[in-house]
Amino acid sequence: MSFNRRHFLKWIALAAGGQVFINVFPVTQGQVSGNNVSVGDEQLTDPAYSWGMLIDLDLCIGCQSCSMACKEENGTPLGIDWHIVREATEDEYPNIGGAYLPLPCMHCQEAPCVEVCPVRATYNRGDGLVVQDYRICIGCRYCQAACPYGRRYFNWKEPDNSRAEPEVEQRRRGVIEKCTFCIHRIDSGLKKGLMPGKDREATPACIDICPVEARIFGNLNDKQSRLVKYLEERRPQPLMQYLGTRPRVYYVPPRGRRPGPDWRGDEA
Amino acid sequence: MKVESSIHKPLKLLNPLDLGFKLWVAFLLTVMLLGLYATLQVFTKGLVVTGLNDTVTWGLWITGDTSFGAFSTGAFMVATAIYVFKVETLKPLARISVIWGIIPDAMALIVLIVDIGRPELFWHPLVYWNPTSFLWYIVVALTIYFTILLVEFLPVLADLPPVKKALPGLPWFMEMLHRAMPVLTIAAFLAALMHQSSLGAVFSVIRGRTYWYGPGLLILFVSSALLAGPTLMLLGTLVTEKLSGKSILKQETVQYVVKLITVFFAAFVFIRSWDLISMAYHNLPLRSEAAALIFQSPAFWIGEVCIGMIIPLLVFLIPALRRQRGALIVCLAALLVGTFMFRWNVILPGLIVAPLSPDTGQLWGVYQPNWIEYTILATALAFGLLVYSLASRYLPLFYRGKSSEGDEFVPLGGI
Repeated sequence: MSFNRRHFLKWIALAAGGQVFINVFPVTQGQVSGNNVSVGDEQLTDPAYSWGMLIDLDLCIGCQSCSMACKEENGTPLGIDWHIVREATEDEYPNIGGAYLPLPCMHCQEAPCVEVCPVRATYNRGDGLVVQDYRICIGCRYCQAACPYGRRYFNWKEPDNSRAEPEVEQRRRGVIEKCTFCIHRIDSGLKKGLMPGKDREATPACIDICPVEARIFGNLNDKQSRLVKYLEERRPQPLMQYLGTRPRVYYVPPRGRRPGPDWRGDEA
Repeated sequence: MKVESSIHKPLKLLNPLDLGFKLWVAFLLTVMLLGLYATLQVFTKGLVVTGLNDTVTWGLWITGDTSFGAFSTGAFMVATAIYVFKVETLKPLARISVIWGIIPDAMALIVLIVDIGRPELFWHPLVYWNPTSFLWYIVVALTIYFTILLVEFLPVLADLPPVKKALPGLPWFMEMLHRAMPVLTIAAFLAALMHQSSLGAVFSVIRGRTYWYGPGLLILFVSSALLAGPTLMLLGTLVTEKLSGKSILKQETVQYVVKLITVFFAAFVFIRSWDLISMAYHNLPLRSEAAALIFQSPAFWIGEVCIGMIIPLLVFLIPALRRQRGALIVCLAALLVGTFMFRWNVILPGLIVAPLSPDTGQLWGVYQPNWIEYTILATALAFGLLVYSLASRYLPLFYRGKSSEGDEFVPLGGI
């Protein structure tokens, strides 16, 4: 059977539980370079950095190594998965098709969770990452309702984060937590003079572990970075771009199913 | 000194009250004791003891909170009618409406404090402001509205003989308060409307959930609240009349409020129908799925349509029923159930049909409230009923007529 973009979209939509809900548009230059980083009230880090991630679904084999590495690194307890890989199948055997969709936090530049938090417990850091302050969070769970990607988890009971790396901040009962892009690795790496995305020690755990190098991490502001070059070459798309959330995670659709150069996003 | 004696009579707290009242209070306290146990469960073990999960992250409690919030609007509406539009007919409801404004808000606060993950940090929204969050707006509006209601409640306390004796400067203060009433009323009006529309906006600004997204919910929540407020107030008063055998409201006043309710009922049913019918157009994914969920559920057909719309409609349409207080009580109670079910049918499908569920094991969310959630909601109700039961006995809430000192309000026993 032939794979086209429509099939690919369908897979993602099935995974999303929303059929043709996912409507993607070609990425524009401005969004790729991440020039318009929305900055919260807290200028914690250098706005010269704008971290982004790319996941090549052409390469992803759905091995779940990323999910496991994330669990090991951040010590998330059972039931809280900062990173998951969804899979969707289409048609019936023997004409079966499928796709894997790894889902970290999208670290949206216009994040719905940041907008709705009544106490500013979650905000865009100087480098654009969406972070969560476990001390301010009151556990109202409005951000969970607001996140279209379902990437936020609530500590329904006292969590056991004892397996986390020592520099990962411990969570507590009654607060929301989510993927941080391994912020502790980025921050400590930068202090040591390492470059996240280049040096493994400073790069998120899910990137390091990927056996097929389906994931790239880097600075969207650095035109010379491998990430930006890949973005310009492969024209990947974020999920649910029509929502205007401007995620920092981009997906390369599987080969042969990518939109052509003349595609304007009106077919979905 | 007939007035004094009538006020004093029910204040003999230790006098043997009638057995029925004692049993009633004992029942309410039992429910609240159970609720205390459930609350301790939540506070010691966490919200894991509820039926909530990461996909359906809000449930029965938020439905209760938004409904209780709506119930409290009667106060500002009556206050506006009396102090701004000078509607004399509603004067007997002046204090009743205030107590029926305070109680549901207090009930909402009780449920809310259990619902949030860190109850000890409930004050954070007042310190860490986020003006882009409608939940934050609700906290601000609710705080303003609740404070004004408490100020409007001061005249009730000032009427108590012990307070009168202790504070000789009180009449002057009350006179100033009375003059400030129109300003307070308008402030309460704005805060209440802001509160109600923010309750709708909490859901309607979430872009990822097409079932909620759009301007409809703001209007629906406001119109539903305008309907529910006077309904609760009148229901409470009519039930009090029925149980105590006293005549509190003249037929004229009752019918005035019923007319008010009818208008808001018609407006709400119209807007809600328009909202539901519009869901059948454009197969907007997730919205259509969520709408399909409610069109298949008894919560909608029985709870919202039959109880919330058809029963009240029948009573409103048939004059003989409308004038009979027993039928009116059924109608008003049905309207309150309908208000609750409307919020249930808005909130739950929107959460269940998630664009991407955090739970890998399932496509959509699953939710079944458990006994802890029911118990705590029942506790809030018991608390409200207890406060009203005691207040109606011991506080001068009920209008008896004009005397030389102005309008005279007495406790239930004084009528």
